[in-house]
Formats: sequence, C-alpha cells, structure tokens
Amino acid sequence: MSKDRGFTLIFGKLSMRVLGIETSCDDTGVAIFDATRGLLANCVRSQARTHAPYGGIVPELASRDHIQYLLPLIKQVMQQADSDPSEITAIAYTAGPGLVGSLMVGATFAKTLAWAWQIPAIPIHHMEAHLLTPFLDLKTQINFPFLALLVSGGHTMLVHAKSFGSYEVIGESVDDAVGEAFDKVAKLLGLPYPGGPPLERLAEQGNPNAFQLPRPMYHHTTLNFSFSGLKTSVMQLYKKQDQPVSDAVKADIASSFQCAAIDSLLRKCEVAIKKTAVKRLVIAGGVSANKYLRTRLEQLAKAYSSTLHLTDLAFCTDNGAMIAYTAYLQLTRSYYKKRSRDLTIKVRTNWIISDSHDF
Amino acid sequence: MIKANTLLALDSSVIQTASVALQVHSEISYVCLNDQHHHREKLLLTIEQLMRQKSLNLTDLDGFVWTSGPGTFIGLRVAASILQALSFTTHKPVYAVSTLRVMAQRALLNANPTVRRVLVAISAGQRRVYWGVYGLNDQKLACSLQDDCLALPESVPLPEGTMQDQTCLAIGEGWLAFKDSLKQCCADLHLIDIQPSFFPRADDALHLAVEDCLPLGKWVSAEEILPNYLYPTVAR
Repeated sequence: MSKDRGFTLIFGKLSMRVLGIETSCDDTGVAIFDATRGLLANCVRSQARTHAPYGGIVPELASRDHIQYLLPLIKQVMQQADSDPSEITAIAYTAGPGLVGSLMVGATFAKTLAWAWQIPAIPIHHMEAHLLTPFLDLKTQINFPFLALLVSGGHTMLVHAKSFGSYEVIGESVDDAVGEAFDKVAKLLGLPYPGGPPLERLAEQGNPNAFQLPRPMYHHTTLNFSFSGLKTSVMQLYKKQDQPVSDAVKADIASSFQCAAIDSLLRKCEVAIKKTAVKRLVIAGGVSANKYLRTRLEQLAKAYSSTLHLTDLAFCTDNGAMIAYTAYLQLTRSYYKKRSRDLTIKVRTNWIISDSHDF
Repeated sequence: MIKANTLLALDSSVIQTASVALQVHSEISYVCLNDQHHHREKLLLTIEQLMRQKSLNLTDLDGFVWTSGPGTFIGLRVAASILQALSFTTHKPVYAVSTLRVMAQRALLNANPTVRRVLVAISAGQRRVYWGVYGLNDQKLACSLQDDCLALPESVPLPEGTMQDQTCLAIGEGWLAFKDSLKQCCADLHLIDIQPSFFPRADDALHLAVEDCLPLGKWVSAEEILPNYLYPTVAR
C-alpha cells in the first residue's frame, strides 16, 4: 500500500488525508478529511452576493469567482488543518453534474495539484456526496439500504441507495427543482437571493392555510415531482391581490406556498417508503436546511417507524467536506481505479447518479 | 534578475488551438493541439509528456508563461487553473502576456519588411471582437499602440495620427467572421493582406516573456494568475 493509492503507512498504521474541492455551481468549497481524525477543516465561499443582483446564478460569474477564490481557500484549509502538502494522500473533486465552466476550474486545479504532489485525483459525483453527507463523521455508521431525498436549487430527486455505489433514482422533478421554485417565489415577494431562508422566515409569520394552492402530481402514481405549476399559481395569486401587496398577505402567500411544496415532497417520500419498505430516510441538499421540512419529515419517519438521518445544517449547501468524505469512503472500500492517475481533464455536466462510480 | 533557464509556457486562449512550449536553456520544444473539441482536456497530459521527454521534474522549472487573454473564457481558466496549481506547489513566478500581442509578435517578425502595423481581431461572441493594434519596437518586440479592447466590428478604434502612412497586416479569425465591417473601419489604411488562420502560440509567449517580462521583473504569484477577460461583466 502506498501514497500512490491514496494511503500512506506510518509506523504500520494506515494514514489517509483527503483534500476535497467542490466547484459545481455557485459555492466554492474546500475541506480536508482525515481517516483517523475526521473533518479537519472546511471552508466555503458563498457567491450569493455576486449573483443576488441578477436574482439567480449567472454561470460565467460563478466560474470567475471560483478561479479567484479556490487557491486562497485551499491555503486557508491547509492552515486551519495545520496540514502540510506531504500529509495529503489524495485530492477529490466534483466532476459532475453541474455547470461546465465551474466544474472545469475545480477539475483542472485538482488534477494538476494531484499530479504535482504525485497523489491520486478522485472524481466525485456531486449528488452522491450530498446523499452521504448525514454520515459525515467517523462515528455514524452508514447502513444501506436507505431512501434519500435530495433537494436543492438544481435538483429534486428521490434516490433508493441500495449499497455503496448502487443508487437508483426512483423519482425526480419533471420541471423546476424545489429550490428554484423557492427562489422564484421569494423574488416575487421582494425577498433577496437566495430566496429559501428569507422565504422560510416570512412563512413563519403567515398562515399556511390562507390560500389553497395546487400540489402538482400529488396523486400521480409515479414518484416524480412538479413545481412549475405551483410557482405559476403563486404568481397568479399574487397578481390578484390588492396592490401593493401588504406584508401580512405576503407572509400568507409564503406560508401557503411552502406548505404546498413540502406537502408534495412529503407525499412522495411516504409513497416511496410504502413501495420499497425501506425504513431509513436521508435528506440532503440546500433545501434540507428548511426547518418546516425537517419537522414534517421527523413526523413522517415517526409515523412509519423509520430512522431519519438529517444533514447537519453546516453541510446542507454545497461544500468540500462531502467531496473529501465520499472520496475517503471510495478509497477505504478499494474503489480506487486507474482513472485517478489519468491526466486528461474531464467533467460530466449531466452525470447521472446511477453511474456515480463509473467515470 | 530571476533565474530563467527552464520555462514552461501555455496557451489555450482561443477555441481553435492550444499549445505548450518548454524552454531548456536555448532549446525550445513545442507541441500544438489542433483538436478543438478536446485540446483543453489534453493540456495537462501534454505538459507531462513534454516534461517526461526532457527528463524534467517540476522542481527543475524556473517559472511559467501564459497567454492571459483576451480569449475564450473556459480556455483561459483552464490554463490559469493549471498554472495556479503549479506555481503554488513550486513557488515559481508566472509571466503573463497578452494573447493579441503574442499573435502580433509572430506576424510582425514573419511579415514582409514593409509591414509596420498588425491589426489583430478575435471573435468575442455577442457580435464583438477583441481588438489590438501592434507595431515592433527597437528590440523587435511587438508593442501595443493602444490598449487591447472589446469592440463592435463596425467601430474598432485606431490610434490617432500614426496609421495612414503605414503598411498594415490583418490577422486573427475575427477578420473572417467580420471581414466587411472591419475592412470598412480600416478603409483609410494601407492593408496589404488578411490572414484569418492565425492563432496564438505558446513559444511566442515564451519569447516575449524572456525578452520583455523577465528583464522588467513583470511577474505574478500563484494567486494573481487571473484571466484578462476584457468583458467587464457578462450578465445582462
């Protein structure tokens, strides 16, 4: 066993320390995960302020931010972890899915640094990393199978995780991601970008039953979601109100929308539990920070005697820790492949999670 | 002066080509990648192969050179990411040269001796061109007569008062995409030829860095390696 395989042997003991780089979308994340000490450092630079004036992510601006801040973040985590380059045994990077310009920055930097340090570069699937995040410590045992609800600004999917590396998408949004719907409704209500957290705060002041909003595909036999119709209904509802819309009505709209969106998510989780008889549920992704969703999922899990694994709030949004951790899991399970020494720089913008260990 | 016997140079600033050049003392090795769909993917691999051919380690390098733009955004960032990582690990300086200047250097040295000015145009998307006007200085190095800029092909700027009596050469694929508009803007000039199939090369960047940046001490550290986009913002 050698550093060439992502390990070093120190006094006969296995040593592994992974530098994780995440640049798939609009957050630059870098972290160091150690096989014996766990997460040593985790730094994320949010680009929210860069994109806020545009009400959404501008891909080119995201790429420009990544290239400007990735190296300073790497220096920062190395310092925080008190880690020397010689102690890093592998570099993990998000290779997809995501924005091509953003992915290329992280992939190119990671591949080059790994070549310079003569260690493996491990391409990681962004969504696989998210669904493993609730186990991101050395104490929590990952027990397969489980159902994972992955909810963010770019994705809404239900995944049946059968074993490590064996994932089946059993439901996904046929149009907008739930986080995207939150952002758009928030913008309509005059809230800043990203819209999830301010919308949630506003919703707490409103009545979830004030307006009857549709729950698209609620009774559909598949496990797919739809949020486009709900978003359009909110826009029509807003236009019908006396203008300017009062703060109280805005709060009622926010609350009714949030309730409808989360009802849809819960419904499909419930059907998935019944269909698969899997009694473990994981929730991850940026929207998983929503307190109302977490509370409702806790109730659902209790009703079905299921175990719920919630992602720590610090790791709900994109981060390098989940990338480093997933690579650590791959390396400890001998998922090391020759590809990690290949110097061709490739990313897969539409990489599907069922192929997550086939790059 | 900083020691610079062994230098590695990169160019991936245009869509059509990418190239790597390696200087060891006075010997220069050069590889050009013409597969425009995959050349960025192979840039790091090409560097490794070239270094291996010359039996060099990263620690043998004294510095790095790159064409820093303007040019294609992803291409510029691929080169910048590679050099950030290499400069970070080796603590060696990086010399940046304008893409348009690198193109002008070869054009001016290879052209008919009567040619005094080179007009460089690269397509920049959104019906715009990256535009530069260059001449040779006393040291036979390309020098800009005005700042490189982003311009509409119908209104590219020309330096005042120095152009009308000079023989000019037009280079860059922008002259293919916007030939009529650019020719109209340059109607008063003595334009002897248009060469659209003219692309930047890493070995020319190397030459300019050695002859100009090094003596002047114009280098940057790893964190300062950022593309010169010329587009102030892309969001509309």
